[in-house]
Amino acid sequence: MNENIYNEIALSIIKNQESIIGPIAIERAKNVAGLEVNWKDGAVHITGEPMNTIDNLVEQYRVLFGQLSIEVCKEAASRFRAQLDLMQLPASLR
Amino acid sequence: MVLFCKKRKKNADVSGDNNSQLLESGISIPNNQSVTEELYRKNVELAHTNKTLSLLQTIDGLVLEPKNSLTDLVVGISKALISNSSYTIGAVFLVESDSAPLLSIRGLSFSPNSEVAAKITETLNHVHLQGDNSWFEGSGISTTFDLIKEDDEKTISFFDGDATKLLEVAKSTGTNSLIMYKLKTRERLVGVLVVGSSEVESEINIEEFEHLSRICEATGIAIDNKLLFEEYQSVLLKLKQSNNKLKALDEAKDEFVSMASHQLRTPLTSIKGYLSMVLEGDAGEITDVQKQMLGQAFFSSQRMVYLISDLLNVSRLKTGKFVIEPRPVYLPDIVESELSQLQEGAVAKNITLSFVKPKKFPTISLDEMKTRQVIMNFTDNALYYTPTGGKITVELRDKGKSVEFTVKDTGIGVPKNEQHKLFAKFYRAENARKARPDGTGLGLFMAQKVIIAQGGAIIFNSKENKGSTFGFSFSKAKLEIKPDTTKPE
Repeated sequence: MNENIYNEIALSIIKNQESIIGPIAIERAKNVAGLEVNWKDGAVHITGEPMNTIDNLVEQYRVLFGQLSIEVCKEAASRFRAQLDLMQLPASLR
Repeated sequence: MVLFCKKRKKNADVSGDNNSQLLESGISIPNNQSVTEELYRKNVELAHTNKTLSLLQTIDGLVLEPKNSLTDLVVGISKALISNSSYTIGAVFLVESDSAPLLSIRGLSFSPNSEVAAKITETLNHVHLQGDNSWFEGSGISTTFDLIKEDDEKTISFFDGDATKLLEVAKSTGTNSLIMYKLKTRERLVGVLVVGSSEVESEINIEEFEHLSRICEATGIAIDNKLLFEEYQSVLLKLKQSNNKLKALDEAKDEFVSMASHQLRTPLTSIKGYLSMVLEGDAGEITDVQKQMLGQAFFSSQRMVYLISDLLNVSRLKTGKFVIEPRPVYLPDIVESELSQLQEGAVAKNITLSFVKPKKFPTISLDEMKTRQVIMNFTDNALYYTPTGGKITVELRDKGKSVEFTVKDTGIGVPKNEQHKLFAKFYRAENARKARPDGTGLGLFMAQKVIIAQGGAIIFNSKENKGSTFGFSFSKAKLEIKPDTTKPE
């Protein structure tokens, strides 16, 4: 499995949220432990445990904007679903 | 199946724990969580609209790019669909012809992570849609394939032999359902848009269909516009080819006219020469009747020389070989000599042809042969179009700064609505055609060319059924004028 896929999922989630709520999406992502965000270069890097880190990222948006924000995260990650088994998919995105 | 009746997905209820968590995070939040969520929902809707607008703008850009072919357009649309959204596959099928119920794939893109799809793109380029099933004939504009349920019968009714490959690729890209939209414009099916979604049929929300519906509307119009443009280009190409053929034929005709005119001129010179000799008594004395008849034959052959000359000059104008060869000429003599050839004709028609030769006139620099033709043309026309008993007055005047030649008649005149076209090539006024069906319409055209090429101006005024005045004027300043105003040696 490509380890980078979690980085891509995280990047896609932040991009989608940014298109909806603007810069606050990046600020919230920067608060997630184990997630390095370099928005200038359009890059994110997960240094922590990937599935937990993505769950924490999704949670950042959920606490602010509710269930609909989770749907947005799922939509952002949908194109990567085929490359992961169900158990490899972060719980918040299943 | 029309899917617009699907319900929107509902938001989850707001947890009471949210406020405390947000307070812990140190971020200032509104007191009412539901307000924040409602704002978020509005923003999601705006983002969807923005996505649609962005895609429409991309489609517009693709249509407006003149270098783009129809294939470029649909490939661009399928790529934009993928990069702009979470679709796994974007494909555009186009109707091949109105008669065949078959649609061929022209644009195809996958989610960027699909290596499998990229490997068999070549195979997919041959996938067709069967346009003769009930969906195409029905009024519904969209339908879906649920790939989880694998409805083989439905798939077979749409796709041909390569359908399995398409489904294989669809699955490799994480596609759970294929959404198909008819692309229609002006009540005509032009193609089908197919997008792959990772969501199963029941999970696809209404916004997605609204978004696709608008994109399909724009795509249908874009394809139709491009088809019309390509059709127009094809017609234009055919017209260009046809025009080139006509030009080649025209050139061949000019070449023939030029060659034939040259060939005709040689024997005519001989005829004119011998007629002139007989008229001058070189072959013995001739009677007055013989003289009159031979004179008419000489005049007619001279007319033919001028006619051939006109044809040659028209041909030379086209090939750029029309040149003015100026030399000093004494116009009163030239006018007199040309009129003498017409005098008998005037008498025969009982027309008064008058010319008072000026006693003093400057010698000017003109192309003698071509100017003679103009003088002959104006006077000969006057003779033709003036009824019996009429009057033709030829005048040559030195007006100080310019010289002027005019032929005034009491003839049929030129209708006012035709006067502006009178000097156009091959143009002949309606009443002139009736009076003289055999005219070429080249005389006035060439006369104008000859006078303007020498720096002069045409004089023309006319009143139908009253008469016309044709002539030309030259500014003395533009011509070489000898100080001695007597005629050249």
